[in-house]
Amino acid sequence: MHGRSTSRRDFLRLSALLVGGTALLSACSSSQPATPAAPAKPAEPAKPAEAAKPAAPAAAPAATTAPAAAKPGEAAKPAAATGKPVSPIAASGGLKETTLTVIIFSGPEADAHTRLGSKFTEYTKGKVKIQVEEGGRGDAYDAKWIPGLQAKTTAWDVLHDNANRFLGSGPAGYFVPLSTFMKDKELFDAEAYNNEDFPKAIRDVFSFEGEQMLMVQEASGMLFNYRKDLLQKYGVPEPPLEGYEWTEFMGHLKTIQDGLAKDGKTDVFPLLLGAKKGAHSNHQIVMPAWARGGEIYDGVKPVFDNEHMVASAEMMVDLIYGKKFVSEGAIGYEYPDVLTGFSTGKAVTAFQWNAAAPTFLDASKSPETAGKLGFSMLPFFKEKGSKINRFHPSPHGIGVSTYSKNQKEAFAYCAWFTSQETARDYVTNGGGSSGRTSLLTDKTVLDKNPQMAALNEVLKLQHPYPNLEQYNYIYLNILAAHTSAIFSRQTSPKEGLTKAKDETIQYLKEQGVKL
Amino acid sequence: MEMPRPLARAVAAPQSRGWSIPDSWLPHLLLGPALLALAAVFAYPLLYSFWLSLNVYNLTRPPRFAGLDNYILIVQDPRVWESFAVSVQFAAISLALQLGLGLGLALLLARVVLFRGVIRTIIIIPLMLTPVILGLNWRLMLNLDWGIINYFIRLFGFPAINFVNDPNWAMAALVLVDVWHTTSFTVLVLSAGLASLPEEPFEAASIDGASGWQMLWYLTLPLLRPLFLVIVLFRSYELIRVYDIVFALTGGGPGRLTETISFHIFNRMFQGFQIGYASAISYVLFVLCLVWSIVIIKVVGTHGSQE
Repeated sequence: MHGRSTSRRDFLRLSALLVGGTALLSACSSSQPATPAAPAKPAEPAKPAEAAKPAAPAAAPAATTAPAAAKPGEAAKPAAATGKPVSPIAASGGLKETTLTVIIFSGPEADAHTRLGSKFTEYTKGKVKIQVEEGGRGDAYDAKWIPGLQAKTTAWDVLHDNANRFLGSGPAGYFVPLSTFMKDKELFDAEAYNNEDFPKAIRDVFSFEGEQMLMVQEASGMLFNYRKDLLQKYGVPEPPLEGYEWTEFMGHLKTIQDGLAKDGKTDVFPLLLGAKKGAHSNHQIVMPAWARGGEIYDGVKPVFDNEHMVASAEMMVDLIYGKKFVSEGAIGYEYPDVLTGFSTGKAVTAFQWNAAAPTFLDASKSPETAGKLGFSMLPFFKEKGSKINRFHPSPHGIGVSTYSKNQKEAFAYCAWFTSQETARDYVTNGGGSSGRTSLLTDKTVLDKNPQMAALNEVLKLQHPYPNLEQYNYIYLNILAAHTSAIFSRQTSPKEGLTKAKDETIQYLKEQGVKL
Repeated sequence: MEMPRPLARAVAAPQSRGWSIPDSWLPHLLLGPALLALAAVFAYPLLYSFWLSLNVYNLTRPPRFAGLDNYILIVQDPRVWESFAVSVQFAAISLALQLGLGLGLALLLARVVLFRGVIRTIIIIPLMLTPVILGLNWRLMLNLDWGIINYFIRLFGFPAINFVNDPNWAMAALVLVDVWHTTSFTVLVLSAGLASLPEEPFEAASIDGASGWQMLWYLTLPLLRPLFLVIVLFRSYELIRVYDIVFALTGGGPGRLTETISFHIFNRMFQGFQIGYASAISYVLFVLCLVWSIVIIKVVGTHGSQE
């Protein structure tokens, strides 16, 4: 063989073998269609993979700081469903025949789309089919979504986003402004849709430069969950819908603690909450600070170490280590841990997101709490009252991709999915809260989901955020690191919050933000 | 008698018409498609990310060429070096424990006669598990209030330990999970090495009256040196860039005590959308790992050759 050249015939033969082999392998591998709309698993509100309920974001330019924001108690304008189609052209089969791909968070949000997608096909007289692509949650979703949109992919028509990510995606131009489609009366019936049914503060969260980019699919809020049976047992009155006043609440927690000690229940705590590094460690300090009338930004300048923030941090740390109303493990807990702990009877009360409520109320999933729960807003401070903007909401929305080749159809789907008629389905079946006031106050919804009454009040009192693109990173990486250090007693509240402020100022300067 | 000369009567082979390919070209031609694919999915992204590292690039604005500005910023950014220090600390402790434990288990396994295969299979089961699942499972087991580990701790009369959230224990918890997960890799490699060691030096040492410890120190360990090099190289790369168990177990907390460099890069990229800066940190990490590899190979390799 040495010195022998490969003949042309040998080379061609080998090449043919290679090509044939490759073709055979390609034929044997299955393609991966996106999940077609099909009956899905029951919508499960538990969100196991979500690392943190992210901070709500800054509503882009539409809202600045508190005074300019949604006024306390500003209600949405609910209206009964008109019965008219929200997209006349879609309902009459006038859309082109196509298949839309929806990319969305895995979990109950996606489940609702998977379950209801086929109904949209019926709605459009068979013209438009829906494929749902689950993108994971949180950071996993980012890792898929961002590179795809950076590459201007046309693979997705409908994009899901949540409040904190929208801070970046809104200005990045990934979404088509909804007004582009809303002025088309054949495509969109404004009266039938009733956008005013959503609280303005939520709509503003998904607006950029005055233009609404996403339609609201759902809005979450942190609620006060309580065991009615145990409150009664220990002689503690149930809270009103607006929640307890903080001083009163502390007194009740002490009463509960004494009662538990008397009963020998050393593994049950008066209160369970999540304060894991990330959004949760921030929320447990920032929300009480807002309830005191404090702010965390002055314009775009961070003021994390103001007296209200320091006082709130000291109060929460004392709840854990001083008064021991809360387990020390709480500094590592987030949504799934609080859900697990409360559903297994490890606490009498809990600060938990509304999405957990269906699990708590379901006897098959949580026999310990089913039928025994009440819901109200989180505690407030007497000096400022309960009607102050003091909550971090967590809205999710869907919108039309700038790169989609089926924008009209995508918009029709978004409008249909978030319409009152369709939203009623996933609100009732655990796919989200919709955010529509008309649904959150509807008797049939409340009968099955009593937590919605409290949520409705929470959504009216959302605290707006500064128009700061870097808000999400600062909240989840800078402030969160220091609030976590405060909760784990690596630093004092004052010192930790001052360091957070200084680091944020330095970061904003590096990013070219004028303070 | 004249010898037959068949070759003399042989007719010369006709020259082949057309072109032919030298043998030396064939491997390259056949590897071509695979190399092209590799270039597309590896080399191109690598070069592109290097280009990104030379730009200030935030998602919401077009990229702006900034030369080495990102790298200068990295040098001045204490957070980068703090997270790198966390990674090094985690890697050093984890690696040391894995080497010690792995060697011990491999030596024990070499002595086992009955059910060696079964025991080996049990030892490598953790290696087959996904790191994220591991992290989540261990987080449940280490839970302060209802975790099984603390249940037994309390049962023996000791106070429960907040493994994942206590500043004194969080790093230990991470190391524990990683050591549990990947020591079996060390065991596998060293077991194979022990099985392939020559017998003569050990027989000679035994005849000379060497003790077990002396044979271990003067014979076994030096002979296994190349395998230690392999283990240190492979494991140190993986440990330095660990992300999944950090994400699942501690989230980088409490505070920033377990925020590794990969965690920091990920947050910069996907939460801060600072694509250029995150790319630059990745390249700095790449260079540091390269330097580490060269040092290790030279030190261990040189030392081995001298012996």
